[in-house]
Amino acid sequence: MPKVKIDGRVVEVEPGTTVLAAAEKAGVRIPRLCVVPGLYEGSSCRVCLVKTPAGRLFPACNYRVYRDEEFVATSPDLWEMRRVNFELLLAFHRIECWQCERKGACSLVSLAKELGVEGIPVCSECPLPPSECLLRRGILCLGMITLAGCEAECVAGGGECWGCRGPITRADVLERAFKRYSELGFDVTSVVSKAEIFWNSLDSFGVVKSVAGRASGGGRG
Amino acid sequence: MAERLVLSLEEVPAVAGKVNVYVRGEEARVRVEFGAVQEPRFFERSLKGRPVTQVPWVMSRICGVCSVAHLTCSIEAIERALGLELEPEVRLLREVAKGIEILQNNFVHVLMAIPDFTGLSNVVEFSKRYPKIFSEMISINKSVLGVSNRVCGRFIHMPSLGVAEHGKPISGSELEAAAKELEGVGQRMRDLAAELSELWRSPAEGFRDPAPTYCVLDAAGDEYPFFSERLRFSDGTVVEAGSYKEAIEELKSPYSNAHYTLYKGSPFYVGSRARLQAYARMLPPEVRELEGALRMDPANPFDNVAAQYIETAWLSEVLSGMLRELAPSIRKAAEFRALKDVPAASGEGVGLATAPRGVLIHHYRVVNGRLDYANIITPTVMNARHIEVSGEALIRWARERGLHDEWQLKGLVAALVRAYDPCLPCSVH
Amino acid sequence: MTWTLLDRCCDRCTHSVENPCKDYVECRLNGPLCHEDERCRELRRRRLEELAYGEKGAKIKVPMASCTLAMGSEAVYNAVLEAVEKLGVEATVTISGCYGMDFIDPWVEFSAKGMPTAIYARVRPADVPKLIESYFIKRDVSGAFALKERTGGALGEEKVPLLSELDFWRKQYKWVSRNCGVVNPESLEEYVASGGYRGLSKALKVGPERVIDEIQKSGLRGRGGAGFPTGLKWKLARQQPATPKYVIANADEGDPGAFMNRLLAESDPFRIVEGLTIAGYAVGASQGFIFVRAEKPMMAKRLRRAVEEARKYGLLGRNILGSGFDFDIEVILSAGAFVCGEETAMIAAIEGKRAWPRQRPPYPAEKGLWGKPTIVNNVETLAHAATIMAEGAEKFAAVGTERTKGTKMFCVTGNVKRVGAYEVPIGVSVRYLVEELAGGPPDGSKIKAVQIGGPSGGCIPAALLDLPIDYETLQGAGAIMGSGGIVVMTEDTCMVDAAKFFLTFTSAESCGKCVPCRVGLRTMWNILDKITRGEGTEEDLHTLRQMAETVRSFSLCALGGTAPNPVLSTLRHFVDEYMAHIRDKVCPAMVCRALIAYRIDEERCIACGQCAMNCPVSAISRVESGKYRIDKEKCISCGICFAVCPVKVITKVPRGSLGGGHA
Repeated sequence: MPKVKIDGRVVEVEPGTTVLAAAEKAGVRIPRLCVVPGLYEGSSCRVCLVKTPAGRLFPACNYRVYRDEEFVATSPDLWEMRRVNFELLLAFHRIECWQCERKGACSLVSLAKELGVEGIPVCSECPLPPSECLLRRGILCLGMITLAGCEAECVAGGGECWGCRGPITRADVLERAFKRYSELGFDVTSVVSKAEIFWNSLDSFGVVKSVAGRASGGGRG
Repeated sequence: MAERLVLSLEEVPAVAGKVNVYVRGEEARVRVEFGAVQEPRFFERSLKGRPVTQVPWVMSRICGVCSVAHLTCSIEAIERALGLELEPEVRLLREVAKGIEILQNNFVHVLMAIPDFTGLSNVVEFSKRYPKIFSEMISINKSVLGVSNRVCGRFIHMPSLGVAEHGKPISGSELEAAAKELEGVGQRMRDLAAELSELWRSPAEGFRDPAPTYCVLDAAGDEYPFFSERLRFSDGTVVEAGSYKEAIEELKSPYSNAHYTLYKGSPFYVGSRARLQAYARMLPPEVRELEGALRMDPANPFDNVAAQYIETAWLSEVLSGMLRELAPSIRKAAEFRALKDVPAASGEGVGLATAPRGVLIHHYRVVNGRLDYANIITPTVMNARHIEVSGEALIRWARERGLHDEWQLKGLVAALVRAYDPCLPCSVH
Repeated sequence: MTWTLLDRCCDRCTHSVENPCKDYVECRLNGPLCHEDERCRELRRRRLEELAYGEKGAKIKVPMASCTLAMGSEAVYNAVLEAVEKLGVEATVTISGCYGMDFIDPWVEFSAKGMPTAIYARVRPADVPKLIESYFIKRDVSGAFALKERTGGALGEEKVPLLSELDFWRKQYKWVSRNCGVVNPESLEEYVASGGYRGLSKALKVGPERVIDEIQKSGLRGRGGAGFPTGLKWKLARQQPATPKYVIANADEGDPGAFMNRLLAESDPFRIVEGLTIAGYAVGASQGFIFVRAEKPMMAKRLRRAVEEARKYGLLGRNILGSGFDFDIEVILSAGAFVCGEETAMIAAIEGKRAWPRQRPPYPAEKGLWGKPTIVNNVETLAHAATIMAEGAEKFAAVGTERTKGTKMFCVTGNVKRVGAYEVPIGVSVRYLVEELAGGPPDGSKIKAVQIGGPSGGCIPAALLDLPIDYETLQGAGAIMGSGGIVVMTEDTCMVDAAKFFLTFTSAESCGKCVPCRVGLRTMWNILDKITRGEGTEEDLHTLRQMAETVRSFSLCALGGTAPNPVLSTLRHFVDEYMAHIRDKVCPAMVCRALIAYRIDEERCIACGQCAMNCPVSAISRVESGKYRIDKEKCISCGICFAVCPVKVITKVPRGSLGGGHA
């Protein structure tokens, strides 16, 4: 049986095993997204790419091992490129977690967390379904424009989000969020005023303010 | 021959926040300067003009240790200013939140000060010497934090607390479970006290408070005064919340960033020692016994630590009782009752709350739903002058007993500061 | 009906399609081999002469390939037919492929016994009667563009250069394109007469192993771009135990500006069919496919016809040339996506699936079409293989570099005098191609950059023109040899705009299967667009670089893997130009619309009003002097006035230089 060395750990696997399966056996975590065994062959999302000692890249989900081979699954450059690549994927995803029924069960969100890609709002972690959104009850929650990662602690604890993890800086997400705030009857300036409490000294708050400025300006025009 | 004494203790250890203590002078004239050197944060000024519903959430950031005291006190002040009516369940839950904080906070204070009462130099040493006691204390602390998470969402900056609301839906059975947990905590604390009794030594046994005036919240009947509308001084004077400024004089010292206060021109103290003295009548007998176990002397400022331990045991019973009482009728509190719009009302209100370290005052003026004026007096500020007076007396007392070693004197002064308050950031806000 | 070279000479000939003779091909030219008869020999000799000079001793060739058709060769062909009849000239009119010299299209070639064969360039239908009259009646060749040989039998011969004396011909090395423009691409007979099918004939005699040996000995590498050793690929496929096996000719040429495959397939399709047959024989396949781009219908038509012809004469089908080897070819039209040129996508397309590439390994040589061992070779590679089998590996390997042997066809387009397809030994310099063969920029302007390898290639600056063309050296400079497209850009080309142009193509052609290519190219395009609008920042440049690296290393197939090359290479060699757009908001080449403005030189303006009349936004108005002026606030920099000004007094200026806060 071929021996596969992944990040220094060696496992023996059946010939024809994918690197992903071998890595799981070896206890090495490789992020993945598009592969659905038996349904989709994978190799599209490119987040599971691993490197051979010669520096060649292969998707772990699709590369099958027939002889002794070695792979690197975790290295800073690999991780960085995975991140950039996933950022690209997310760049064209319409992030509207506040309206999304999938909520916590979203593989994009969990991958974004794993790879440290920003742009995901607290709404993705909010325990309330969209129909019970605090905003629908008139409570000004900053979840839509705040970076996820706190597990929506305040919302889970019965409060609203105050934005303590800092603002999302992806303009398109902010634009949609402000549109939603307006739809729900919140004044853009009141949102910004509340956000000021924790964000006033942040450079990234500038992005929020400029998007908010456009949102309120556009509303009037 | 007059001996010149200069002691300077910069950044007193085992204390959150920066505090320097300087002692200088001739034998007869010792002066302790208690200077909070932390940078001011301008909470009162920077919140001016904000919608009042946002104010408590920011005010709670004055201190991460007793955030709930500031949060609730701020909420109380706003509710008074706006004349908002509270549903009884919301008030009870808020009192529970407040109580849990006092309980947990006192307990941590005891843990931080315990080396001073066991003759050890720090907590790490204590944990090595008495691992069983230490891990039991940590475990009790954890149980209390668990209750607090369950009832209020999180133990720090509790997200469920808000103006005229309790945001986290909670069921009766959850409250029952919390009550049970707290009951267990009370029992464990009494058991622990028996063990502690063996090692408990006051660092300055026999030292007496030179200025025995204190201030507490006025209790209505025999209920623990989490919140109140009146202040009560040890001389029997009762002051309405609105006229706190007439009784308490807030002054600025040149060497500290913190204010200090005087009552009738002299220093006074607040905190557990004051509360136990004022409400000794309410203590259940099994809690009373702890006074003996820890050999508590109410006149000794160091014994504030013992008082905190005893209050903790007391509160665990008070709170479990409250939760049990609340459990069957909680249905209404499960409903969300947030203020949709900031009432455009105007008014002025003073919130009084019992913070772990003593009386906390938040005073707001609201104009058209926005904060116009704020004044906050924290327990640390009230104790500031009292620490100085006690410190001076302590040094005289120690030197009379032949203690001249500079390091030992410094240690004693530091222990005194820690006994009052191990956490000083809120003094500068 | 005329006897053709492909027919039996007499009843003694034992050959038939059903029962083929091993020496059929050899017998066509040097036969008869199985019997001796001077009459049969004479029959062949006469036919060969007929093929050269027509049955009537005179011949007119009109090229019929997409490129010449586009230049009007069909009208010329009709004019020729008409003129021949009208003038009573006894000449056979026939078609041919294209020389690949687009600058002489449409051309005609006249030949007659005793006369030098003459090529006439840029022929208009109206010129045809005059040309025919002077050549065939007056025997005057003075109007010709070039002659193929000198016979001394025509007037004005000395005034016309010989084709073989002209730089762009002399300096080429015609190996695989030898028949282009020479033979009739629809006639198998002419192909055989020119030496075709000798390669297959030889291959079938020596056996598959020795065919692979011969190809390996020649050092032939894939001409599609990747440069994988062809012999090795065949060997790997041959070693696979699974059957059946398939061979595919990749004629899905999609690079903008590259047309050598089309040229080859339209001008000499039989060479490709022969090459594919040899490949099939070498790897042990019995079915081949030619995958042709649907946008090149004539290419498909010629290849289909070639397959039919070959089948008709037993050069495809059962028991080819008595060897026991069965092989047939199907010509398949691609759906037209650029990605179809990628071998795994092509395989998917042939299988009838969506043309998506898939991850390799497994490589097609192991698991390809329908999961069976498959080789995919570029048509040029296959044509090379056929030629190598006919001429021998040594001859092929005589030219080229140490690592890469043989020749390669390149298409030189852009700002050069002689746009065309040229075949040169690998290893000649870029300068050799663009200056000596293509003649350099037409108006004496300076070359700024040369884009090699199509949209997947890179731009190399003028300073690197002496770089020898080879797979490895070009990669070192940030370009690739690719399929062989070369675009010459002069000083009036904006390199940022050029990079954007190529990304416009690749991002539109991305199949969308993998993220880096689908999204990354789009993102890169957005950044380039931002820069050309003068809104770029230095941080954008960093992001662009990071994106490019990610797309290059993370993409599934070569489309994404090479698509960032134009950006990376321009960033490497022309970063100053990017910085000018970003920092100074200036497009040095005056191309990017958002960064330029137009100004009328009022001194020299003749007040004709053309500019004002044509301005789509009415930004040009008459001033007191009667001259015209452009309102910079209204002007959208469309450039129409610049184009219509009859006295060329409108100039481009950097938009910032006009002032008025429009920087």
